[in-house]
Amino acid sequence: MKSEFLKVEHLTVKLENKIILNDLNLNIKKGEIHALLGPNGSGKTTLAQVLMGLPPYKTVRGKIIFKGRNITKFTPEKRSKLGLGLVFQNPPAIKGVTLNSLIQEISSNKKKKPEFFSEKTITNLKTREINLGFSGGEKKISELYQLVYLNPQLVILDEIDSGLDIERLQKIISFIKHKFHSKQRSFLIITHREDILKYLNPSMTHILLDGKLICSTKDWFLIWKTIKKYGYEKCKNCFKKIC
Amino acid sequence: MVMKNVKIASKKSANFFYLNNTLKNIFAPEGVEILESPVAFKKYSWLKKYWQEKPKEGYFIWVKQQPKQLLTTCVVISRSKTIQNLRNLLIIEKGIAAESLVSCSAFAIGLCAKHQAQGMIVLKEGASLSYKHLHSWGKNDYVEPDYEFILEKGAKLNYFYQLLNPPKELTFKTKISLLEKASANMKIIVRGEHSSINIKEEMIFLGKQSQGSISLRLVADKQTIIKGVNQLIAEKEARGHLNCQGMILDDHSSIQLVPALTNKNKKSLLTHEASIGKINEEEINYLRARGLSQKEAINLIVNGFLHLNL
Repeated sequence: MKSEFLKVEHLTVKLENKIILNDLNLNIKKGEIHALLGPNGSGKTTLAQVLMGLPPYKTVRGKIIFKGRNITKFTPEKRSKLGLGLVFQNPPAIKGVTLNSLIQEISSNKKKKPEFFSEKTITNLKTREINLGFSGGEKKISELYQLVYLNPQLVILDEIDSGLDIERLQKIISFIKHKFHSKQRSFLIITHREDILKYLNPSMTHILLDGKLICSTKDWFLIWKTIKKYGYEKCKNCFKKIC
Repeated sequence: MVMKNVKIASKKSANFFYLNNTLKNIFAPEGVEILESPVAFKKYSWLKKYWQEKPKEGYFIWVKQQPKQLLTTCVVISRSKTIQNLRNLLIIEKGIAAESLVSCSAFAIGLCAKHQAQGMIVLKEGASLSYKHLHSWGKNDYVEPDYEFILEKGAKLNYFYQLLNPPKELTFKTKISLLEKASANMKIIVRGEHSSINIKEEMIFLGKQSQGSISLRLVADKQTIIKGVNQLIAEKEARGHLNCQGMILDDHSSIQLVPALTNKNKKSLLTHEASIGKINEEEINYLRARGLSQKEAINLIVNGFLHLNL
């Protein structure tokens, strides 16, 4: 039996006195891939950032257990060191800081000698300032390479597929499979696209609406078909909580 | 307490090594004359053109032939309450390209010393100089460098000044005069902590087709006050640009930037850009999600802002 990796219990989160995640429960086991779907503004990115411990959100109820430890009050760096990794949807540009210098910082934190990229795509990025003038695809590659050095055990991919053509997406998925999935890493994938679901075949798919997880199923295709046909409106009125 | 990140050149590696108020070593490579300022004043009467009275201490470096190596001067204070009052002169003869590393530092943080330096650097026609000026001081020191650069026709200057370990008070003045077709790029990097820092830069375009730029990157942290007055003056047809960027890291620090452009020639173009802001929280959080502590994240961002990583 697979051991529980991430367990979110009754998580309720506020931002400026407004509840934005409401009584949310989620269990991800070792090696599992979970997908999170939902319309814009439903709270998907918020959940990713709350799991990573990023401000300015305030957890008012519930807890986050990761590898058996209650990390609800842990700082982002502590969560990162414990094995949580986040691929940002919109990573900020940092002037004067090259990807290489960040990799060296990450590597020194991990007490590992810095490795240097050999892949052609990343060789061109490593001497450039992080995310400054990067294309959408370059940002995703930069994000994933940083995670390779961090070596997380649970990877949250926040719209890794947005703005990518199918060829680029396939490359990125192959990279994810090779570097992470083959090593029994767990995933939480936030997406709006069918392609990534098809390629990674999640073991569980959830729908987030207005800060609440309203549906969870093992059959991602069933959910996808329903959303494609009726939109998320049908989910709002679905009392069975399953398509 | 001995300071971190301070490298003091050894007697053998520096061309001029001066400790407290005593000359420790002079090594002049071929084609370069290096003397203590009082000795030079006595030897060459024409130096009265630069020094109205006999200097008490400092160096005189006269580059007469193309040097084969970097010229280094190292001025150090290691004794408590030392007062240095240096008069320095560097002359690069026509058409010579030289590189100079100038290091002035305190060996420990609590010396309560004073370092005053008046310097003149003369680049004769067609000469070029890469001038790297590194300061590192203790938190109770007082430092007053006052340098003047004269660039004759077609001369080129690349000036880089860096202060990462600031004194209690710094008054930093620089004046650069450019004659015809001369060019100068000046880059100043200062990170202040518990400091009062006054910077006054002046670049005067005296000759036709002269051009230059001044770039400042200033960081104020832990009750630091920085004031920068930076002026470009075009007397003749010239191009000049001023770029001043400041970053404030705490609520008890301030930065005041006063860029000033004076154009007396209708064919000249002088421009400037300036901004002062705080550190971006989103960048800090991003780096923290990568496992860096808040302090490590701030350091990396500040070093990036100061262009120390590039």
